[in-house]
Amino acid sequence: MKISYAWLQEYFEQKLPAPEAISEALTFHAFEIENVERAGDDSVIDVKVTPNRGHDALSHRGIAKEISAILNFPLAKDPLREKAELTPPSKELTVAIENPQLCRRYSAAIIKGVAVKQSPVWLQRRLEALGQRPINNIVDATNFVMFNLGEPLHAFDMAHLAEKKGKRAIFIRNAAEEETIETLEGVVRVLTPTTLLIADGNDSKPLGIAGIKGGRAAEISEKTHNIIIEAANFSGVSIRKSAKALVLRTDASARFEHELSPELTPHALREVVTLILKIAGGGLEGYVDVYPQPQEERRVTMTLSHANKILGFSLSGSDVEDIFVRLGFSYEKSGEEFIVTPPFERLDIEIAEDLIEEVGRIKGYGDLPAVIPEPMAVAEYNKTLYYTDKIRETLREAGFSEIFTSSFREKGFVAMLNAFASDKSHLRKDLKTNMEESLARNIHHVDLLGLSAVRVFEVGLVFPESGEELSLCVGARYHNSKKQKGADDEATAALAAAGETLSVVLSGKAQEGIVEVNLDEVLKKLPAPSHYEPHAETPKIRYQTFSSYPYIVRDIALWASKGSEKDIEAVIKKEAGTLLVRLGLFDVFEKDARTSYAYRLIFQSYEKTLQDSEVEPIMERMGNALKGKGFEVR
Amino acid sequence: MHAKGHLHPITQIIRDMVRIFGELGFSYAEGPELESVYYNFDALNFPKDHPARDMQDTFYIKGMPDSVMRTHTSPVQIRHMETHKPPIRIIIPGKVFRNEATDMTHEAQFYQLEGLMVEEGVSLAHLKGTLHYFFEKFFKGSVEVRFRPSFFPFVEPGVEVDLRVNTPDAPEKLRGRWIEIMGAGMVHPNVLKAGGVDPQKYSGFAFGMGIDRLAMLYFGTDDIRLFYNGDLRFVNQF
Repeated sequence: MKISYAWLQEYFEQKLPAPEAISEALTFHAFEIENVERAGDDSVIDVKVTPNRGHDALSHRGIAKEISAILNFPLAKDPLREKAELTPPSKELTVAIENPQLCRRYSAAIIKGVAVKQSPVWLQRRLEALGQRPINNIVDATNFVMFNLGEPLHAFDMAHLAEKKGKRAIFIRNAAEEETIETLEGVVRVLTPTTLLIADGNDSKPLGIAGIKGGRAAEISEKTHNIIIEAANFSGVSIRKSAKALVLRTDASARFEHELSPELTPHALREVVTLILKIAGGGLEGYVDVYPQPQEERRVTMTLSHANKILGFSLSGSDVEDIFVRLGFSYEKSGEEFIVTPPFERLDIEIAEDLIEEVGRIKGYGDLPAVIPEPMAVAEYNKTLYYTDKIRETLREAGFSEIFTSSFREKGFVAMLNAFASDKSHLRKDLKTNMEESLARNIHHVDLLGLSAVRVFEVGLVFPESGEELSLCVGARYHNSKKQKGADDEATAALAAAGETLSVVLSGKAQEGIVEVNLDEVLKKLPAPSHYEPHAETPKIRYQTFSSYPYIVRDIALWASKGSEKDIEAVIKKEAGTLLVRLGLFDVFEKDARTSYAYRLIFQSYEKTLQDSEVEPIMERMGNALKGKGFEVR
Repeated sequence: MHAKGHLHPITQIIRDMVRIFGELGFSYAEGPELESVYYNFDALNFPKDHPARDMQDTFYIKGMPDSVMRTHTSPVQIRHMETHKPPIRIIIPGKVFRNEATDMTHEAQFYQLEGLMVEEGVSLAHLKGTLHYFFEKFFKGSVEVRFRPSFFPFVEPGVEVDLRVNTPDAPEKLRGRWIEIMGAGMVHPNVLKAGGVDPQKYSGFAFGMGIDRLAMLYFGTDDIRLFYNGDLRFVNQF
């Protein structure tokens, strides 16, 4: 949520530290900060309020309270700790709730004789800092209070509610099947019976989608004189489902989704009434408050030793008391036990561990000690890990490299309900389909890689009709397709060798150089290991990005005296420059006291496709340079 | 005979993890990739129909409303606790799935390492000590670890863990900078209960780290998708 620094400052008498310092305080004691931006004279801090604090911290008062606790700056005023009585009662409005499980409280205020116009500049600025568009003084006031206290409000033009015997009525009910409402932006929405509606209690007309968006029927306009302001409380689950179904998420629904405390409504209502009377004039007629089941006060117990045990600190009773006082938690202390009554807006404080987290985070984890656990022997050695590791080592020795491929394919036995991409719509039923793609792709790069053939394997879970299975797939492919039988033989031989390491038979029919076997049955019969094989540590390799542009192959052969490799290679590299990505000696033989060296050179650019015409001059220069050093180029 | 092959960088990292955590007595544990909603969310204290479930984009399965592709390896914590009594020390490296758009730092599948320690008197200090030990051995030099408060439904208190690697040969992106490396915290009593462990007697810590991300930081690779396209121009560098 975007928080205005200037707005925050109004909660304190003492000058707050700079926005960056506020940011840091929140980061290390409460919430991550997305960014801090300057906005004219003000700064806007984008706070990432976690889902467990949506009920109290999606507001300036909530963040001010956090800052107050963290920095130990008392709040100059706390609107939620002031008395908020909804008197006098209204004589012109009645409210009824059809289902108190879905609407736990409905409070409303009636103000008569307002003048609807542009908001004063200070209010417009406050809203603009948060990226909100000012509309008119009434709507702006309701938005201001929502961003100030976290309770969404809505204003209706009283003239558009049907009058019966001098009274207006509001009925909070479920929508009828296919009932429609035109919402404020002029969109007609079709509703279902699970959507909660604010409706006219006298003529049943829909006035707004509860907790989500108001309707056009009773929209505030310049002609409005008498208004009804709603501050209510709705079931978060219900609002969330409706918002999702309607594809309509608003600042209001986002707050209700987190489950707000019904105790908020009178505070928000009184604040908005005071503000509206000030900026729009008029007079308060009265309030209505339907609150069938008041929120019960909670008491949560925590002991000092439990807190220290969980946190790893050695805090004293007074350390803890100090933190509870800062947070505004009232408590009773009995020995080392604290019985805490959290304020009504802190719905997240339910168990001792919730209090322990409050203590830990306000104290801060900066000087948390690092304690290494008492030594303990490894309890179990995992079969799958042990044996697949042996398989990997055997295959590696045989020249095979390990690949990981996607578990998703466009076809399979198990389908995803909601895949983001069409090629991720099913789970793979085998490894060989992906293996074929890997072989086909890698065969183009054998020269670049300095390989005589592509040799790969994969160990992973597949999802055939019978269910989740562990599979091993080995694949080989030569450049020359005539040698395909050789590839089949290599793959099956490698597989057999892997089996030998496990003293089992691993075999299968190879096709196109690929063979695959199920490992579950094999693993079942093997004994549990008593240790893992030691391995060399992973070397600190610095990865090099490779170019996706096609490469050019050139061979060069020459006669030289025995042992000239280093000199030859130095000349080649110097002449070839940075375009040479690979130099490989592929043939050496001796004849008549001379040695023949044959090198394969791979040229490639990171920026474009190289042309032969760019490589020819390099080869010519190279030939001359080698001749100059006394080597005979063939 | 041709040259030796190469093991996938993630296999190599997992080996290091098994070895280093093994020095502290952690065992390797595993579980299914196609997981039940119960083990993936409910038993881990994710409330039904609450924004907390939005924190993870989930693959749901056609015709199997009680199943999902696991979004983390945390379900194995519950499975393991159900069949083992404390003291428990396990790490769970495994493939996990997120239903989100793919780009250089996001893939629909990636590898995660979960860790769990449940005994009498386990605290956040043990979590810090364990993580510091691991990173010091992994990066072979001086590292720092720090905690910031955060929220995950399966831990309370919950923390974000930042890492700073100070070794002279650390990759540029990493050296001397604080980076967010994982989420962690003290196992929520509801989760201990779901695993059949008495939260009055035992406490535990849990952590979850992206292995791909650690590999990218360690090796200096820049695109997570390279781990899964079966290209030897990538694998053969390791």
